[in-house]
Amino acid sequence: MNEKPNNNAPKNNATLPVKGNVVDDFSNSLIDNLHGTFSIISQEGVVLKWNKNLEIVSGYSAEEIAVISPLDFFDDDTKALIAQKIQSTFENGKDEVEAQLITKAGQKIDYLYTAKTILYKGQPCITVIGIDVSAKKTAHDKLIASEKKYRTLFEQSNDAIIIGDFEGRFIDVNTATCTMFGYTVDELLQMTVFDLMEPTQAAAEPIRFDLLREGEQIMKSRKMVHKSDAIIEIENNVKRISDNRILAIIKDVTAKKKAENKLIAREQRYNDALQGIEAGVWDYYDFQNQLLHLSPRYLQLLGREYEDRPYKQQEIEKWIDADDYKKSETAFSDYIQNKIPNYKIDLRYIMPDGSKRWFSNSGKAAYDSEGNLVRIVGSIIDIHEQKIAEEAIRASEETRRLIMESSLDAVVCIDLKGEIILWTPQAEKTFGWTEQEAVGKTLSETIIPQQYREQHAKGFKHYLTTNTGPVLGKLIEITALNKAGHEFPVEMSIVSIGNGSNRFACGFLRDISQRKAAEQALMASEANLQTIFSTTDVAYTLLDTNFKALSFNSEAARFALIELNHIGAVGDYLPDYFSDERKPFILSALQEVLIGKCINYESNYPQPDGTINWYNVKLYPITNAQNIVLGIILAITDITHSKTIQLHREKLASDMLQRNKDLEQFAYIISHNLRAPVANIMGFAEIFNDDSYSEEEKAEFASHLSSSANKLDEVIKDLNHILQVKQEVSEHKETVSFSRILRDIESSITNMITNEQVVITADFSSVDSIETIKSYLYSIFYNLITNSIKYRRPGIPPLIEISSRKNDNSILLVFEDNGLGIDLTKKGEQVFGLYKRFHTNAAEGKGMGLYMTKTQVEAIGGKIHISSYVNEGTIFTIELPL
Amino acid sequence: MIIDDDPTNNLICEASIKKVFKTADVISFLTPEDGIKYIETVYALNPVKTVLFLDINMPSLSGWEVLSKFQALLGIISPNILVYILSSSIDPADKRRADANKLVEGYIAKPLSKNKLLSLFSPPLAA
Repeated sequence: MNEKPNNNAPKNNATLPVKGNVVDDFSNSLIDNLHGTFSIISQEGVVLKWNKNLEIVSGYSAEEIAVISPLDFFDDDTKALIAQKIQSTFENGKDEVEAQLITKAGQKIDYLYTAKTILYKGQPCITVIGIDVSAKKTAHDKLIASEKKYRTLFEQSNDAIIIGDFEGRFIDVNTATCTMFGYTVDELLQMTVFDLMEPTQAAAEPIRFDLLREGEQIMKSRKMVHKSDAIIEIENNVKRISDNRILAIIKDVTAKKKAENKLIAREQRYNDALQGIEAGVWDYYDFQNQLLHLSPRYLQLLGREYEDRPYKQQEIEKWIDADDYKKSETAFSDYIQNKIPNYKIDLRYIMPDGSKRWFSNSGKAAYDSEGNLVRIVGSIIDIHEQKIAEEAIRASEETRRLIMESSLDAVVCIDLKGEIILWTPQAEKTFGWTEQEAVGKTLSETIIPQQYREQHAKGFKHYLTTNTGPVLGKLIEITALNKAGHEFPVEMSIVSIGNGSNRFACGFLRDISQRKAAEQALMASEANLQTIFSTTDVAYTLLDTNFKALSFNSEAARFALIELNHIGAVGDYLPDYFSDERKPFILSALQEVLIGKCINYESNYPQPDGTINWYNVKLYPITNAQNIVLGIILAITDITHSKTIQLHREKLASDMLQRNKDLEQFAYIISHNLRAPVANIMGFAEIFNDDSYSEEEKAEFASHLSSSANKLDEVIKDLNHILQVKQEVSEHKETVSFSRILRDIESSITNMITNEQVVITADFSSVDSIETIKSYLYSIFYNLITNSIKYRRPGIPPLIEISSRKNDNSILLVFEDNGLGIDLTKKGEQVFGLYKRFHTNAAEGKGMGLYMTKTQVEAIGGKIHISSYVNEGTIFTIELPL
Repeated sequence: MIIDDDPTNNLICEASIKKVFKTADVISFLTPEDGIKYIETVYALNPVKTVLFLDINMPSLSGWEVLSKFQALLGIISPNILVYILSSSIDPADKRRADANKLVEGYIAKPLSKNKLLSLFSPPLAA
């Protein structure tokens, strides 16, 4: 499922589905598995939500669907209709329309759309379900086209064409039939074939329904009875065209028969007779020389010039299709040998222009008084149109059968009596009744539930009289009944086939229980989601696999605005919301989710008032049943409160840890540095109390005693100083200028600078001031500068270069000298330790300077780094926060 | 032998040692490097019985570092030199560390006094 939030909707109403929700998963999967398209459209005409199928069918991507109008799925001629239908759905609660969807590629697909109103995200919307009816439509169209063609051929034929069943009932007859037998269509449809047959012959030579049923084609001459009781000589060609249908094509040959009979009877005058009849007559009179007489009409029918002469058998052979000629020869010899009663065969004659035309050729043998065959006389009649029509009808019947049987829908046709005449295998599946059970029953006896039967009867009656009906040609949803008595929703369209009294009605039905269930589940789940998302305090954002926002709730919009300074909009590329520093992290997290992982981390956002907002961020994939990632859910929870408490605890713990370390450090200082002068004083005290030392010796030691006492005092002062720095972090901050501090220091150590020829260069052009505690910064500068001078390289005038640089969140101060340097590989860890000295001979230091510098840098929130090489110099880099 | 960067301490040590062991030769080094160099060169030529008082807290090399450098000079030191740690530290951790080192004979908290020398070296070492 895809979705976009409605930008026009009030922000506090914006919600979004959680993919982890079971109910939602269920309904989404139902919707995604719908064969049709699904969408939710707002009153403003925005597609808010849609299923995957819509993207697949339309060829538009989710991003495109999110921005285009529902009308864009249709061509210009249809847009107004669709707009009107959407409007009407909002007004009437539901509506439907059949229209052609235009895909992105321009392909047109017939869709039936049913729309209903729904309250979605607190605003009235409509759900639109589109069903591809192109297959059905094509079937309908084919059927109608086939029907038309069939009708045309049927009606235009000069031969009587009858479609009947195996009981001899007439199902359809053409106008020629009426003409031939003198009855109206309606009269004929009430009759059977037996009513038209001459009774004596009907008894002697009954219709071989058994052979027909086996698929045999029967061609036969018969005597039939006209309404006026006149006998009609006919030749019929009867075939089975489906399991329960027979097609009979009947030709009135009364005139031809008369002519033939006359010929046999009055041989001498045959030439005269030949002139008058429709048929082309042939007379095979000389078997020895294979010679025939042909009537002028015979040659005329074949499009050839008549010559008053005998024609050779070989000559005529060339006028006949080779295959057909062979069949003809066989039939002829069978007839001569009395194997078959009649010589009659349909042949294709080759016309002078090379085209082939169907003729019916029949003949009769004439015997002399002794029973010797003397000649065979026969005639050809043009049956081309009839033959083509017959083929077409057969094809049409076949098409109709195929369409109905292959249709995905159950196809059920009823005749004008309301009885089922067609029941496809799919109908068997859908309703439980077998074809055998269903055919002959009415719909009310089978698939119409009790409560709708009266309505059906009324509608059907209306259809019978007017040939129209409210349900014709539309797709409607109704309730149907199966054999087991269970009612279920079906979708149905009805077409009327044929016209007048020959028509019948066909219904295309489809079980839509599953779809209905999906719709209902969606409604229920939507309602649940509404509740969840309007009440949750988690910020949810739904992203597509390109990390673009598809949807978000009000909390998410709030988060974007407050913390990311963005007004959330559907289609936005999420990583763009983040600073360049965070972007790579977000991108890699999203990539991880794309391969199915869940990501969980905490994130903080410093506020202008100095506080920090903390969030728990969860990223997890939305997958379908095949575990394919369809999208990503970003869930952000504000954990500032609990985090603040946690951080406070952590700070307390870390402060305590630092205190402990400080105490250890102090213990060490006390045991080594503080106790050293004390130990010396104790040593002197012992000496003074020892009488074995002379007064002279004692006097010498006295001067050392006072220097030890001074040293002790110094250490105590240092310790006091350190403790002060550690306590004074709350001292007020002010804007301090680097160049100003450097000037002050230079003037305070003028003598030292002059004596040692110190050169100090400074570059504070990029940044010259910082908000900090002035005394500390002064002390830091002082210590580093005097250190560089103290630990200068003998014989080389000290050069100190100081510069400042501004970074994103900090200022860098760099102090570089050309002094002795420190071997950091050996002493790296101890450089900033208290009372750590590295230069025994450079004396003055007592290991306080760098310790103090580090303490002060840290007290104002900074860091200090050192890099140094022996006899090259030292670089101190101080990073101070802005 | 004394290795300690604190000249005052060395002064007290020398005075105390001279009082107890009147004939003893006392030599002091303010940097451990000088002390080690002396042992490697001068002392190695004539290694007499010697007591070394070694400070821990010195700028260039700590007492512990000096001890690890002694590992290379075991041939000279082990048979001849008794190493005592002499530190102002009264931290038990330092004493434990000294006791754990095989080269170290004992741990003495400063100041070195006549009584301490007597209790450690009785009968007198260099008598």
